[in-house]
Amino acid sequence: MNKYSKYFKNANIIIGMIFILIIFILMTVGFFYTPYEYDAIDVDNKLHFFSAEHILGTDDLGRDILSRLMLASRVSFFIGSTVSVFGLLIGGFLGSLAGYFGGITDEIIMKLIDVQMAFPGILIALMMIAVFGGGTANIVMALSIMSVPKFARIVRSGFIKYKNFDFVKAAKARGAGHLRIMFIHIFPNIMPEIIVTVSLSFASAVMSEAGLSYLGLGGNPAFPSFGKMLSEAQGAIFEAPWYVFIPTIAVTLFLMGFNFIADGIRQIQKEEKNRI
Amino acid sequence: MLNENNPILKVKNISKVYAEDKNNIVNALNDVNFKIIKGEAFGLVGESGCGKSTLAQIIMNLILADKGEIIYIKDGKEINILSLKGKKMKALRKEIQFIFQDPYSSINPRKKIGWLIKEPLIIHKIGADDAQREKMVDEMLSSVGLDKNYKNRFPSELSGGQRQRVAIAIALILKPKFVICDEAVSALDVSVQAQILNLLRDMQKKMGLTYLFISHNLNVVSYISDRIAVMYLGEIVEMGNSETIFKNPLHPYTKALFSASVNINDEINPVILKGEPPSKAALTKGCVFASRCRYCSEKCLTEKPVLKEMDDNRKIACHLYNEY
Repeated sequence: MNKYSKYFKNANIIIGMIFILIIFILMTVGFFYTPYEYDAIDVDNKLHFFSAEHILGTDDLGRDILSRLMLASRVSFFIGSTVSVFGLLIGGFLGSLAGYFGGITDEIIMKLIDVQMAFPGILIALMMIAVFGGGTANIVMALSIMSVPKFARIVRSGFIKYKNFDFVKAAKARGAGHLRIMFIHIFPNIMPEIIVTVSLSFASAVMSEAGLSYLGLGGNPAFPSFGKMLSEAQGAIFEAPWYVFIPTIAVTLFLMGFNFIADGIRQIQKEEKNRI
Repeated sequence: MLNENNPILKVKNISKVYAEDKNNIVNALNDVNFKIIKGEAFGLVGESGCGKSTLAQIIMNLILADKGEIIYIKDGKEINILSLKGKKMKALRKEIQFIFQDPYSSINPRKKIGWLIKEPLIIHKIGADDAQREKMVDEMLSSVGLDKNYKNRFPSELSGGQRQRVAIAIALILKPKFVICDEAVSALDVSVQAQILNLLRDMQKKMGLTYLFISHNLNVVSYISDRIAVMYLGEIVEMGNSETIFKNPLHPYTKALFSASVNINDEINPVILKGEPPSKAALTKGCVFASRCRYCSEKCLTEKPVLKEMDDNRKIACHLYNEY
């Protein structure tokens, strides 16, 4: 317990957690209750300002913005978490092979990753969507591939650092196999760096998803997402300027929340390093 | 007592060259030969960078030698460690264990002590169930002088001496026959050094261990070793019983080395060596020590002295040992 309590005392982490918690609560409540149906059109009440009936107002078709926001956060959480998990699994696996075995394995894997990094991420996503069509699954796939290099690099550098430590040699001398050394001995030591990368990649996946949906390349067209809401709000920017701010603030909370958490973890690591 | 004809390990013609590229070559070890007798503590001394640790890691098959054999004698059968791979090597790892110099880096900081000591048992599938393994861990902890409740602590909560006790517990839990201590006490402060040395000695008696004890600290080596080999620039220059070497070092390098180690009863009259050890880039034609030896003769520069057998198990690699 006391091993983790230091993480909950850090101001950055607390602020980040609060930001994300706001969106998280919105999403969780959305599973059980939304004030209106997210697609209930009410043309008589379009572009209303905040009021008791519509807490965050209505959009250009009279749909309740709060209800749509609750559902949109689902998309962001889903994409953020699946992308981080896939990115971590694939990137972590490749990075640990490259870092641990080095030599030709390292060369091949890192060259492939360099090639991948040479493409702008959004371009890859656009290409995949053009080839395989839109839809959440394809977006997740495209964004996961985008996040692989980050994980691969961070895991590789951790493995390179730790593979020459005496405790790794000692484990070898005791007869431990490669997999045991890689995933039981080295991996826990680079966990803090990985958590930082996970939270940053979560934020960037949310951002990219918003960007893609803004361009109209998102998942299910009927289902709201932050990017889609933003592009809808754009059309009504003079009549209802507040509408633009709502999805923007939601995305900002996400990004800042995860960045704050990442900063906090880095800070704690730095302090720990200084103490040793 | 110790029987010269009952060796546990033979190091045969081991050579190792580290080469970054053609112009950057280090001859870490050059044709090293010795035998370690079952039940003894064999000390290997030499200054930093003379190849001691490289040799230890070659014996553990952690790095490859360029030439030579490491023969381990198990139940009368000779096994060349360097030719073993996979499962056979893993089986042999039970018999040979390693204690590292720095207990801060040789123990995984993210694991609890109990887990660390238990891990070798899990790797080698020893013990019927977890309860039995836990019991073995408890016994091992108490025999290295640590309390049971250390099991749930992390290495960062322990002092250097305690950590080295843990490292010893991890090494000995598999009940090995042969333990390599690579500078096992050098990172500890002097008061703790004595405790750890005594612990190592006790465990040797209790478990019938054979040690290869590597150190640059002559007092430590003389305290624990039965026999000593002195190494200079990747070659063994003198070897023999610990007492005789201490009382009467013959090789000029050994003389200089031992006179540098101050004893409170000694008159301080050190042999001073001039200069630095030469680079290990090129193999010298003659004696490795020739460039710094005050007795150096023509022959020393052109002809390499071999280890010559003398009386009472003593060997020396010098052309002139009986002339000065």
